[in-house]
This record gives sequence, structure tokens and C-alpha cells, in this order.
Amino acid sequence: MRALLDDTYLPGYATVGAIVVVGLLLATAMLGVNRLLRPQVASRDKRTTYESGVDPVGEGWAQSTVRYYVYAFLYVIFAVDAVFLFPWALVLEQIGHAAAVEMGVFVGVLAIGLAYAWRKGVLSWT
Amino acid sequence: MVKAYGRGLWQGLRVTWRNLTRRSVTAHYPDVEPDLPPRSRGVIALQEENCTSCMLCARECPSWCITIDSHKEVIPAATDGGRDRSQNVLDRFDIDYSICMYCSICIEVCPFDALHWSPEFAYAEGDLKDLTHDMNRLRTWMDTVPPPQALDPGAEQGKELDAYERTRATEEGL
Amino acid sequence: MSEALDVLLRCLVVLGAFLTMPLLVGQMEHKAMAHMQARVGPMAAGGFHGWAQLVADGVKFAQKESITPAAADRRVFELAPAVALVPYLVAMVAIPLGPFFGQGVLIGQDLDLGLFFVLAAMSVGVLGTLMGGLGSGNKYSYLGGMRVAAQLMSYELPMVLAAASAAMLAGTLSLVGIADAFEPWWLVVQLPGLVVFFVAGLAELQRPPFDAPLADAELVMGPLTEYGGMRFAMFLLAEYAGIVVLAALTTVLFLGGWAGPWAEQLGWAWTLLKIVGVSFLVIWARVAYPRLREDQVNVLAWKVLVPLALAQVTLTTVVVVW
Repeated sequence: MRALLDDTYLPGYATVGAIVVVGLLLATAMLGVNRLLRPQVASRDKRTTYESGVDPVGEGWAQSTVRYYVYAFLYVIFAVDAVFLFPWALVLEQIGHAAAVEMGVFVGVLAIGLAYAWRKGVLSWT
Repeated sequence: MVKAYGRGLWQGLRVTWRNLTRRSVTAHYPDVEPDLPPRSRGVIALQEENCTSCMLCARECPSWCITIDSHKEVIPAATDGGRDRSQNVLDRFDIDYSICMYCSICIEVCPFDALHWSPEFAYAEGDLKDLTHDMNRLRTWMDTVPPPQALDPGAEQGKELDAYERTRATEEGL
Repeated sequence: MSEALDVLLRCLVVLGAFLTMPLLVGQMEHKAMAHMQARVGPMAAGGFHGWAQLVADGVKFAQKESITPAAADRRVFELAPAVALVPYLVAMVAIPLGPFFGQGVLIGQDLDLGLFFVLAAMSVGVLGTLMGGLGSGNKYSYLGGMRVAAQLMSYELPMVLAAASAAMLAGTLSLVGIADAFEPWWLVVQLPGLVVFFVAGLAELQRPPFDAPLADAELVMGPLTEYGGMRFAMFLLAEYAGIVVLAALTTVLFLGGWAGPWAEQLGWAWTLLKIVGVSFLVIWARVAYPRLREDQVNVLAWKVLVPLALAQVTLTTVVVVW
């Protein structure tokens, strides 16, 4: 385990930092080329919201159901599980049975939660 | 049990794979001329020597797309004291292809075989006015009219051909 | 100085791969999809069977007008394509190609937590589509954005769980390490994981049959409705770059990366071959299957893939510990 400020650890991420910069430059270049080459004919009709060719009705927002929120909720729970899963996966072979049982209990509790949500009908749409 | 569940998935893959490995049926049109069936209707051609301006085609056309102008010319009598003959001469014979519906009625009713079908179809124009073909253009389409299709095996030929062959036989017999 | 040059060279090679491989996959999609549908696909661009079609498309998109709707949130709307595109380039840095004639493994940067990094980068890419959907000020885009959010969140999970099972067998998160540690019997043990990862990855990329958010018959183009010109092209490039990244990840994690005859010399060729094969499967899935309905998409994620992924994790745990 290397310390964060070790001389050999952070420089290993130099390429990663460089590629992020290159990526941003690429996006800027693509949009820049577009700005140089494109025509710019202003027209009020062009800036109206697209609704299959008819005149747009009402606001740009629509009502959304609560089930999307439920999926986000379930996702957060399992995402936390996943975050703990990765470091555990690395040391599983060394620690052996104890680690397996422990993670089994952890995932089991979450699976019970998922089963509860399933039984409650949250995962089915009407 | 599992096979019954995944059957649709398997069939989708199988059909698409079969299509992938076979030659596609696309006809590469501009590079390859299409294989048109016989008697295809592409454009109507005019043989004006045969036309007597009887106006049958213009009258029978359901779309009124044929415009004919003609005048009578007098041919003096061939012998002394004979009757002067008159002949209709076409001034104008237009077919407006923007209206024509390719129903073939004009060709069927023409008693003098002045109108013929040609399989040419590539005469699209940029201006609507250019879709009205005048007499000269209709004459050029005659070069593309194919010879009449062969008769089906065992079919009877038309009566005029029987009469013609009888005349030829008597002439050769002489 | 040569350190900086080395970094720059790696970045340029990764950038080159990022700009060419999606186009190759895109051209393969044009032609393969066409022949599967009994037609020929692009034939005119570039003379020989339309090989330059996507290049021509790129030039076309570059000179098109970019219109920002009056109702849109300007900054969010204009930045969304970049947010969708750049994470895939960043993810490509950590994906190995394999040994290059005994010179070591071709890779941008071999990170110790390569797998975690790639998955995290792919998740950031999701934000781009979301920004596009919610920032367009358009009801269709908004609905599409909500669908995108639900779908992508639901499918993150099986993907991450399946990837974790691959990391468990190898004992490392480094992608080079995972590919090096591959053994042929893994193919059998990891088969559910492979299926789960591939299907979840397809859904992450919103590729048919999981393109309910982009359902063109229903929502015009979902979150991408208001986009045109280069911004639209960036979204499309992001989709194909995503296919390449997904194929590369599947290959490295589940198909053994560069395993094959003469792996020391031609390992990179084996990896590329497998990436092309998996990309072909992605294209084949698009042609062969109809679109899943929105509720079917979520049911598949939560009721089929997540339990299957959890089962795979359990199986792998048993295999590792025993």
C-alpha cells in the first residue's frame, strides 16, 4: 500500500490527467470547427421547441411519476454495496472463509431489502 | 423448458444470420440497367406518318392530356378529271406526361398504329413545362420501341396476319 | 523531458484509437446491419463499397448550423455533448490491448484500480445524456431524460456486480492483472457474469433493444431531440465509443483479453479481434431484436439481472474460497 503523497503513486496518474485535458481540448476543437464552418441564420421559428412540427403547447416541463425516484433510491443502496464489494474482492483470497461469510451476510441483508421491494410491487409497473 | 423460453431470441439471430450470409437482393440501379418485363409501359411514342388526326386518342384519353392540331392539305388529282384528295397534316401533337396516367387507352383505340409503348422511364425534368413532349420528341421515342413480343406457344396470330400471309402466298404462287 | 513526451505520446495514441475505432465499428454497423436486412448499405461514399461514409458524415455534421432552442437552459444544453463524449476517452486510457511483439502490454496507463476507474468514467458519461434531456426545455426530451435516468441507474448495478466477480477471481482491480490471470475454466464459471455484463452494458449504452429512451417512433429522439450539427455528432460518437469501450471491457474481463496462440507477440491482435467480435454481437443484437418497452427494461434489470449478478458473485465467492 503506497502513501498518497509517495513519489511513485501520483505521477502514475499523469497520463490520466493528460487525457482529461486532451479530451476537453478535443471537445473544444470539435465545437470550434463547427463554429467556424457553420452558417448562422437567425430566425425566431428555429428557436421554438420541437413538437413534431406542430406549435408547441404549454410549458417545457411535464409531470413525472414517483417510480423513477424509487429506482434511484434502490440504486443508491446497492451502489453503496458495490463500493464495499470492490476492496473486499481484492482481499477475499487471502482472508478466506471469514470474509466470504461476512459479505454473504451483508449482501443477504440487501437482498432481503430487494425481495421486500419486489413483494411490495414497487418493481412492477402498472 | 428453457428452449421454449429463448426460442424467439434464437429465431431472431438465425434469421438475421441467414440474411447476412446470402447475397442481398438490391438492384444497383444507375450502374446496372433494370431488368424490365416485356411490354413495360415507360413513355408513349408517336409515328406521325400513320396519324390521320382522327382525334380518337385525344377524345378517349381520360386525363385529357393529348393536344392535337392539324390542317387539311389538298393533293391534286392524279389523273385528269379525277377527284382531289385531301390529307390531314399534323401541326401539333403534344402529350402532357404530368397528367398522363399511363392507362394505355390512346394506344388501344388508335386505328392506325400511330402510338406505341416504349419502356424508357428516365425522362424526369426540373421544370413542369418540360414534361409536355411535343411531336419531335415523341418521334425520338420511336427509336426505343421494342419489336412486338413473341406470341405464346400455341396462340393464334391476328386475323390481319392470316390475310397478309394469304396474299403473299398468292403473289409468290404467281 | 522524455517523461512528458512519453505521456504525450500515450495520450495521442489513445486519442487516435478513440477517433478511429468507433468509426470502424460504425461502418461495420452500416454494412452488417444492411446485409442482415437484405440490402447493401452505403455504397457511394469513397468509391469502394462506401468505406468513407462516416468520414463524409463527419464533414457534413461539422458544417451544420447549431441551434439552441429559446426554452433551453443554455449552458447545460451546450455542455451536455462534451460531458457525454469525454468520459469514454478517459475510460479508454486504462484499457489494455495486450503484448506487442514482446514489448510489454499496450495500454495508456496501467492503473492499480483500472476496473473501478473505467466503470466510474462510464458512469460520468451517463450525466451527459441526462443533461441533454433535462436541459432542452422540451417535453419529449424531459420524458426521455427520465427514462434514461431510470434505465442507466438500474443497469449500473448488474454491470458493477458482474465486474466485481471478475475482479474476485483475479484478485486485482488492474485490468492488465485480470487479463493476465485468465484461465480457460473461467469461461464456464463466469458465463452468467458474461451474459449479465454484456446485456447490462448494452442497456447502459442505450443500444437497441434497450433504446426506449431514444425510441424514435415515440419520443422523436428522446433527450437528443433538440440537438443538431456537431453536438448531435458528438452524442453519436459517444455511443459508438461506448460500444468500443464495452466490447473492450467484456473482452478483458470475461473473454481472457489477449489469451490465444502466440499471445506474447500477437496478444494485441487477439484483443482487437475479440473486440471486433463483441462489437459485431452488439450490432447483431440491434438487428435481431425488437425494442423493449420501458417497464420491461426495468423489470429485466431488477428482477432478472440483479439476482443473476448476485448469484454469480456468490458462485465466484464459493469458487475462490474453496
